[in-house]
Amino acid sequence: MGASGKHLSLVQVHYPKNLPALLAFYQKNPRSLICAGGTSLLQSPVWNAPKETIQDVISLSQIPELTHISRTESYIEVGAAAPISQILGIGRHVLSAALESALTRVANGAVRNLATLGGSLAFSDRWLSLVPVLLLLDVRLELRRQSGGEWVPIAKFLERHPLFRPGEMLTRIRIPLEEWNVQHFQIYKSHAFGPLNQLSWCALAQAEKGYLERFRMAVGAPAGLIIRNRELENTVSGKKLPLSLKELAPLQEQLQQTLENVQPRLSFIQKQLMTRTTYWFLLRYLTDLWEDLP
Amino acid sequence: MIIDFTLNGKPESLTVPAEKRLPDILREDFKLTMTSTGCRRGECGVCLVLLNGRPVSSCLIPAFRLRGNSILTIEGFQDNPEYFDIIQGFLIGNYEPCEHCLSSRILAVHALLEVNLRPTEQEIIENVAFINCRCTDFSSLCAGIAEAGRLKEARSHGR
Ligand SMILES: Cc1cc2nc3c(=O)[nH]c(=O)nc-3n(C[C@H](O)[C@H](O)[C@H](O)COP(=O)(O)OP(=O)(O)OC[C@H]3O[C@@H](n4cnc5c(N)ncnc54)[C@H](O)[C@@H]3O)c2cc1C
Ligand code: FES
Ligand code: FES
Repeated sequence: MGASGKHLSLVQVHYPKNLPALLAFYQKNPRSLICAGGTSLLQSPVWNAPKETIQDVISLSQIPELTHISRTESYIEVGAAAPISQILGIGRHVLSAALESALTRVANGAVRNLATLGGSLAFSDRWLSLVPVLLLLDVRLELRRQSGGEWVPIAKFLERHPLFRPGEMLTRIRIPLEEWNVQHFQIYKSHAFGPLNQLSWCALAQAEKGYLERFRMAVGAPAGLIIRNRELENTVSGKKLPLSLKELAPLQEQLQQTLENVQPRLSFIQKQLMTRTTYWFLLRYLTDLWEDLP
Repeated sequence: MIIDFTLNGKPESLTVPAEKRLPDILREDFKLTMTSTGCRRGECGVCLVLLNGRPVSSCLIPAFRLRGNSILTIEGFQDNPEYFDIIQGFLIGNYEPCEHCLSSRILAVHALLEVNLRPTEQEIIENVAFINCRCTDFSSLCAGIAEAGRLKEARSHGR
């Protein structure tokens, strides 16, 4: 048995054994801190501030419902406290390629074994990597309180301020298994651009019988900024393929206009990365090279 | 708080502040000093240990997360034949990591070889090469892991 010199702590940890016990405790103690993987929480100012009163912490680690992953024909359902590596374990043949790519780019293997999808969604500072993909996939989130729960489209969730009501938490994430011929996810975290210019970019396209049936595109930037322009998506959707270079020009203009109007203002580097990646994607996949597609 | 967990195969019961981090617990409470630390923010990977067999950054693990779980550090792994497969494989492959990152690399390679004896370069990048290093090259790391995998495979076939 080990011995520690200093045992005094103002942190009191609770380990509910199941979801009803968790929700009941959280309802009574809504100021408790939820700890899923703990990878963001432990770095957060709330956690590291000197404590004057007891800080209750709820550990999600012993609640089987929250780490369960199941699958139907039309969606995958992920418990909010399932680590990212566990979700990757579902396998390439099932997960959307863009989502798989985004998940493998979160931190490193030793963090992905701890960090959870629920934790990433609940912490808006970290929306950059995963949220644009989840948004395009029309993911739905289950928010629960002791008194009941609701399934919310991710787009609605992202608009909430604050994200959660007292005693409410994220319990399940439903990821539709929709078909997309082309999926691309790109993250720019290069030292060449600096941390404030980090950017993620995602697009999904579905073509049928020579027409671009559906097209979606979203971008993530630091501090929880997510950009999606449905007008631009609609301009491209329904067009005959391949697109001509002439058809791409107004799209570029439309995108530039969108980026100029984003608040807070985007940096020159961010705008460059967004427009260049979009143009590259459209050229690579939707113009003459389209026939190369699987 | 009192934490019951398994450390290097032995059940332990430790009285400790809930927020104390695992590297400090290992060092101060168990005198296990071979797990290094660097950034203490989950970035560098040198503090890697295995939690229920999976590599994790120990600096991100507070005491309360240990409850009911099992931790393997390099000290607990050194008596295993797999440890020698890896060390020998590294030497044959001309891969010589420094003292600072050695234990995290060995544990990361062990976890990888447990699921795949012949990992691809991509798997090595994702599972081992993220541990910060500017002093060894990737090709010798791959060579070392390939040799370690062969040795482990041969041993498991009784050769
Ligand atoms: C070195 C490092 C690099 C990283 N790089 C990336 C990266 O490139 N991209 C990226 O996206 N992320 C990155 N992350 C962040 C990582 O994705 C988040 O830290 C992680 O996803 C948060 O998940 P968690 O389970 O650890 O959450 P926790 O740290 O446990 O919780 C985070 C916040 O969410 C709340 N919370 C957790 N679960 C729930 C729930 N179910 N309901 C309501 N609230 C909840 C917590 O109370 C807390 O406020 C990195 C982290 C580290 C340490
Ligand atoms: S000390 Fe750098 S990851 Fe833990
Ligand atoms: S840091 Fe250890 S070999 Fe490079």
